[in-house]
Amino acid sequence: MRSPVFIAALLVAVLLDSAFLQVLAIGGARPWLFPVVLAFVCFNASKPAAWWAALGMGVLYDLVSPVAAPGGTTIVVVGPNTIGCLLAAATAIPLRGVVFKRNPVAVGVLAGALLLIHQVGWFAAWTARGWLGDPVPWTVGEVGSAMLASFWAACATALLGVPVSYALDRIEAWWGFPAVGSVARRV
Amino acid sequence: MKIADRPFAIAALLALFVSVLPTRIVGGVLVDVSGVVTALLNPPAHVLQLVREWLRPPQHDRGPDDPVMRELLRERDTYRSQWHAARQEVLELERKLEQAGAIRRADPSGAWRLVDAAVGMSTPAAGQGIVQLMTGTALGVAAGDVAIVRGDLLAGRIGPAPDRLTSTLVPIGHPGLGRIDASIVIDEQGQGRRMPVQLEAIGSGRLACDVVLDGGVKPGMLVRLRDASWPKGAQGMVLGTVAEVGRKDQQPLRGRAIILPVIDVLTLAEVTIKATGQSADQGSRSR
Repeated sequence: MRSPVFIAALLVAVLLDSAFLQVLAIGGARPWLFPVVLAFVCFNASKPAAWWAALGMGVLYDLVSPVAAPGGTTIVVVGPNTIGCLLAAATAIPLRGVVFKRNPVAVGVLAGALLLIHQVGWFAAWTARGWLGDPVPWTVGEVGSAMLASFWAACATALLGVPVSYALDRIEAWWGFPAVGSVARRV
Repeated sequence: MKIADRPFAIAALLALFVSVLPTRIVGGVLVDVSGVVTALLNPPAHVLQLVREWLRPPQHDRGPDDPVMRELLRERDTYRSQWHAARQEVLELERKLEQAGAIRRADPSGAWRLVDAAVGMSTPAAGQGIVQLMTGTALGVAAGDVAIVRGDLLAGRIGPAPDRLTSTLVPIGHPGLGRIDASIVIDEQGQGRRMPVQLEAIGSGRLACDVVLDGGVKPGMLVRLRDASWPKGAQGMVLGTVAEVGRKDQQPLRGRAIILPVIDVLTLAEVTIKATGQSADQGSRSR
């Protein structure tokens, strides 16, 4: 996989996720682009490249997600999104042998599922930090509604994933993925 | 799942380790790194926000169609917020005037000046309850000055070596203040009969003293300062209240009273200091 292409796609995803995709929100459900990119990379890149991509994506999303802390300060924690992305990658990489990666519907639905798995890691990481005394980025006692919002976001992400994965499939040649069955792909 | 890439395994473990590190260890660095990243991403994100707002304006932007009515509503909201701000300021000034008057009536000698001090870091973990104040020697604050709340409630003493713009407040109940001579006021409403006691900190911000078992000490009674080593202007001020009176374990014929400080400094945003030092810039923030 060509790193500059992935970095460009990652930056586009983080910009659209943080500043634009709210325009597609219906009710409380808003789509996210990063699970679609993560699914596309995990299904096409070599395994080491997919792992590194998930790690880099998680770290970047953590760095742009400050959390308000008591006293009017903000804190930045590298971990919740990183763990979430690594969990999602750990789910997606073994599935690449059984998914029709050229089927936009399959990739879109899997992107929604990956967002749910990412959210499990995200909640787990913040809950662990909450036990250590850090503030958690949801209202205490409202974790159920926060997870329900994640479910609706996953549905919206699956819908967005269909056209986006189709578009990504059109530019697959730019990414420089290894050919099917190559040694690098099987590492 | 087998991860053959050793550098990746190290990086992932490092990320997992950082994810559980307390923010006081890595928080500052991460906030700086995050600031750099967001500074690079903010300009294109702002353009995207503008496009998003153009495509789908926020609901609250949709006011009445009539521009005159829209302008009237805007002016109404502006003056309403100004009225609330002015009202809050008046209430704050009234509170300060009342406090200053009470302190002056209690000690008319005038050998001091009052300095308002904003409370900085006051987290329970910060220096075992010591509170940082955002005022210092520039305004005449000296080591050993007393901090007061609501006229005659003692919050604590200024710690050693205050800086020019900052100082520390050692709260009542902190072991750093040592033993404190005080009086339990047995008859606050009547003759003001007092029982002299010596207070010592026993942890968790509480104080304790020996008392005569049948001396009339009861929970709820006020404890006032009577210690020659404290500033003259602080004598007679309220240190705390008697929380409980019991039999002393080692000497069953004597009693032991537990005293709770009347002020919990960890909940304060501002205290008034009776400053006895020389001010570097006379007049500012003093009354």
